[in-house]
Parts: sequence; C-alpha cells; structure tokens
Amino acid sequence: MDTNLQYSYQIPDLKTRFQIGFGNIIEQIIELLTYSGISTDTKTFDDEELKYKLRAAIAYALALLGSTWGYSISAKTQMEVQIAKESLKALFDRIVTDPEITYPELLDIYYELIQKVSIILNYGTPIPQPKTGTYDIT
Amino acid sequence: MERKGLYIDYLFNSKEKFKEDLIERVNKIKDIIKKVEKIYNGNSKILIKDKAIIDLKETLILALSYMAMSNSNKVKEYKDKVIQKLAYIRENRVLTLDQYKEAYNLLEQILEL
Repeated sequence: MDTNLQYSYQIPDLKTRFQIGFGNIIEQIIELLTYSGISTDTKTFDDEELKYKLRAAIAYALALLGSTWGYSISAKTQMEVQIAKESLKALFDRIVTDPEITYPELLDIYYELIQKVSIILNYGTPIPQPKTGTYDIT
Repeated sequence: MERKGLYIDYLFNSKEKFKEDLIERVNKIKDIIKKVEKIYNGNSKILIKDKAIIDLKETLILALSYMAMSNSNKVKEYKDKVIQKLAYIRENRVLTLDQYKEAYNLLEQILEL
C-alpha cells in the first residue's frame, strides 16, 4: 500500500470563502422569511432568529467588502467600498437599534443586503497568487 | 418545494439559471391555481392555505432576491408590492383564490423585468 500519497488541493481565496459563508446564511434567511410567524410540530418561527441571521449575513457582507483588500481596485472603487461599508453598517444598526422592527422592514433589509452584495462582488479583480500545492498525508 | 442548490449561488454566479428556477416555481403556482379552480369550480372566494401558501411565499421571496439584482426602474414598484403581499400573508396565513391569482400575476410581471 502506498502510504506516501500526495493530493493536490486548491485554496479558495478569502473573498470566495466569505461568499460561500454568505450564501449559506442567506439560505437560512430565506427559510426563516418563508416560515415567519408559523408554528410547526418542532419549531416556532418568530423573527428573533431572523434578525440574528440577518445581522450575521451583514457581517459576512462586511467581511466580503473587507476582502477586496487583496484585489486590484481603482480609486473610484475604493470610494464606493467606503460608501458600501457605511450602508451595510446602517443596515446592521436598523436591526440592532429598533427592537420593534417589523417583518416588512426585515424584508426590506434583506432586499437591500442582496442588492449591495451583488455590487460588492463585482469590485476589483483578483491579484494572481499561488493557489495550488501538494498535501503529504504521511 | 424541493431545493436544487444554493439560491444565492445561482443568483450571483448564474442569473440565467436563477431565472429558470424562478420560472419553474412560478409555473408550479400556476398549476396550483388550475387545480383549485378545477376542484372548486372556479369559486374565487375559496381559501388557499398550508403548503400552497408556503410555496407562494418562498417564490415571492426568491422573486424579491431576483429583483435586487435587476437594474430596471420598475423594480421599486414591484418590490413594494411583493413586500406588502408577503406581510399580508404572514398576518392572515390564508388567501382567497382571487388574492392568490393576484400574487401569481405579480410574479409573472417580475419575470418580465
């Protein structure tokens, strides 16, 4: 038996990893928005979990924005990044500071978040970095 | 409705694929309407609830996600309508066949964006 196997692997860049994290949490948010106000045999879907997940998604969006540091971006885009950062922080604050926030307002925040992230993902182009290597399992 | 993968992955990496998925879901809503019309002889006041409502809500939320990526200037108008519809469903849990059809028509309009 060959115990000296080598596997090649790819390291996703930071932005890709945050994008995957963001995607996973958005999946959960869509479910929470769909079942909002409904009680099933196993779970009551109140909006507390929804608020918590939306905050987490905004944090991911901020991380995505921060990960553009590894990208080549123009001065104009740098300004846009700054504006996007402030907008995301404002969305986060809307959830945190208003305990009475309503379901339609949470839907509006969800919409704004998707809109902003779709723009963020187009910021800059990756600076080529070594991404492959070998992993020795012995 | 069965999921086919990460919605957001569709949305960010293949808007076309996301739209195809949305069209399929909207068609399923159309099928529900046809079935209900057939069973209840077109009674527009018949109440629709449970799974059919969940399917509609999920489709409306995906339509909202789709609109967030669109540059059309009609988006604002549709976005408000979708949010109002979702809020109404959350409060009332049921829709009459007429209201369900209204939501379907809204989804059809969004697909034209």
